[in-house]
Amino acid sequence: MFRLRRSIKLALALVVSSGVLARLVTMVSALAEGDPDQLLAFPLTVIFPAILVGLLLALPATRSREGALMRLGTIIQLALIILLPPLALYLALGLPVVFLVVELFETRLPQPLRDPIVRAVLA
Amino acid sequence: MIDIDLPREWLWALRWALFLGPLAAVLVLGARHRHEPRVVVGGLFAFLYGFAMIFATHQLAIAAGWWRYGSEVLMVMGLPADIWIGGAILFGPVMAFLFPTIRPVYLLLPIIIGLHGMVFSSLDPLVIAGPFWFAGVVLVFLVAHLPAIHLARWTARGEHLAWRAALLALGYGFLAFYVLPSEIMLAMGGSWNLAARPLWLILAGLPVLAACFVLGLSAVQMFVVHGEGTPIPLDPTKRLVRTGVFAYLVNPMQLSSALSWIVIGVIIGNVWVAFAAVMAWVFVAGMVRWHHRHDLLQRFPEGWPTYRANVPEWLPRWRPWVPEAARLAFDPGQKWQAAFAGWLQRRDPVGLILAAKPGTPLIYRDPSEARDFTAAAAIAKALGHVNFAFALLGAAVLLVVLPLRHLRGQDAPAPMGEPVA
Repeated sequence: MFRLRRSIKLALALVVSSGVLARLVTMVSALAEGDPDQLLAFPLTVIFPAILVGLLLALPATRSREGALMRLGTIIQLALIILLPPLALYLALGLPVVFLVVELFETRLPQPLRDPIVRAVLA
Repeated sequence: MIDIDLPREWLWALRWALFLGPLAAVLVLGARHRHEPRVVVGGLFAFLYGFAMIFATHQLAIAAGWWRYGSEVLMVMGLPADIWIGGAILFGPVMAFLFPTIRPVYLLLPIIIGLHGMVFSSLDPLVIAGPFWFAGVVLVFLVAHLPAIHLARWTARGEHLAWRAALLALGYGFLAFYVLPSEIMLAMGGSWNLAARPLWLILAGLPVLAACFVLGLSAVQMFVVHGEGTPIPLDPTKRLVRTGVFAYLVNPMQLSSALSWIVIGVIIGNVWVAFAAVMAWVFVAGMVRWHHRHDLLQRFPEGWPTYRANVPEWLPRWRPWVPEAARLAFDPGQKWQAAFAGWLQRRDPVGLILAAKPGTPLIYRDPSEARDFTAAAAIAKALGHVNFAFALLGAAVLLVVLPLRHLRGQDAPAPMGEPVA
């Protein structure tokens, strides 16, 4: 069974939480200036991806190594969606690329390079 | 009908609630059903179907002037994305999880009449009702919400496989060839304005698009008929499907999607939509191959490697790969049957034994399959043994004949347990 290392999980949670906080601050200051657009977009563009990240972090271990790496890739993509709002739509449309990157990583990257990286992120 | 003016802040709160309410509900209810995978998968299918069909029906409503949304935030072709997704969650998995035994039509009627009928015209400027808005609401419920809840329920219970697959195919079709191109054009520019495109291009493109759709839909049909499952790995087939279009290539649905995006991109003159074909390849390279290794190889350790070694992923074989010969029994006394058998014989069909048997109806039987095919369906199946072009023709025939027989309750008979001839 394969799972993300606790340190990696914590780091990801920290990055996503910081992103949520930054978006919250931006939303409040925009609202104070009379612009409700960020307030209205907040549930879909911030809360929703943050919940998905939480769910992915809470899921039980996977049977395959690729499964765990795909989960990690998806979390990173979701974190980027929160952190980079102008690119959110492009990042969402490009989600399948995550799976390609993992597949290429697993099947094309030389083992001496691949294994240390995997050991660093997966337990 | 209630007609009140809601303060702006209330409308903001309502918009939050329309997305976060269903989201919270589905998380709680999903957690409650986490040990019932079929129920959860049914909810997921209902969401995806609703997601596609809500968009399609709302586009119709907006174009017909039944209603429009006043906001400019998160808009996708006039539809707020958060309300759209919230609706797909609420009228899909949430309803299916909450009320697993009540007939969906009884669930939805009070909502249509009670909720929409009472407050729909009070939601200006969130949504601005136009003439005939009530008929539009009924249409959305009939086309999007009602089938979505049925899909969830049938998947959870493992019932109505043919209807399930049909709804999944319909939902996927709208998702892949309407919602996704719309999103791509939102990101990269472009529109569905066909009036600005040359008529000859549209007329030339549509038959090609139809052929692409035949390839994809036939693959779905083969999964149902021969695999006794759906094309989605979460609701998988019971048997390895190697017949029909799968005798020519491993990924007919992905090839169909890729070619369709290219054709749609050419028709509407948008290179970015055509570029979505690359995404189909990315999906195969990243996800499908993983599924093949971790699911098909595990479930069919002997059949899958042999099939994979003989059938290409993307570029179809011209002649099929048939591991076990099928048999077509025909009555030589029937002129048209004898003529068809002769025509087939001249084309040297791969893995098809032609057996003359006086007095028998035209029957096609594949030894590895669970059912026989008669009359037009037998002809269509036999065409699959000639070459890829004839296989597509046969697939188109089967796409008409088998659903009609299913609707009439005349599904093909099960094998009789003995050789046909």
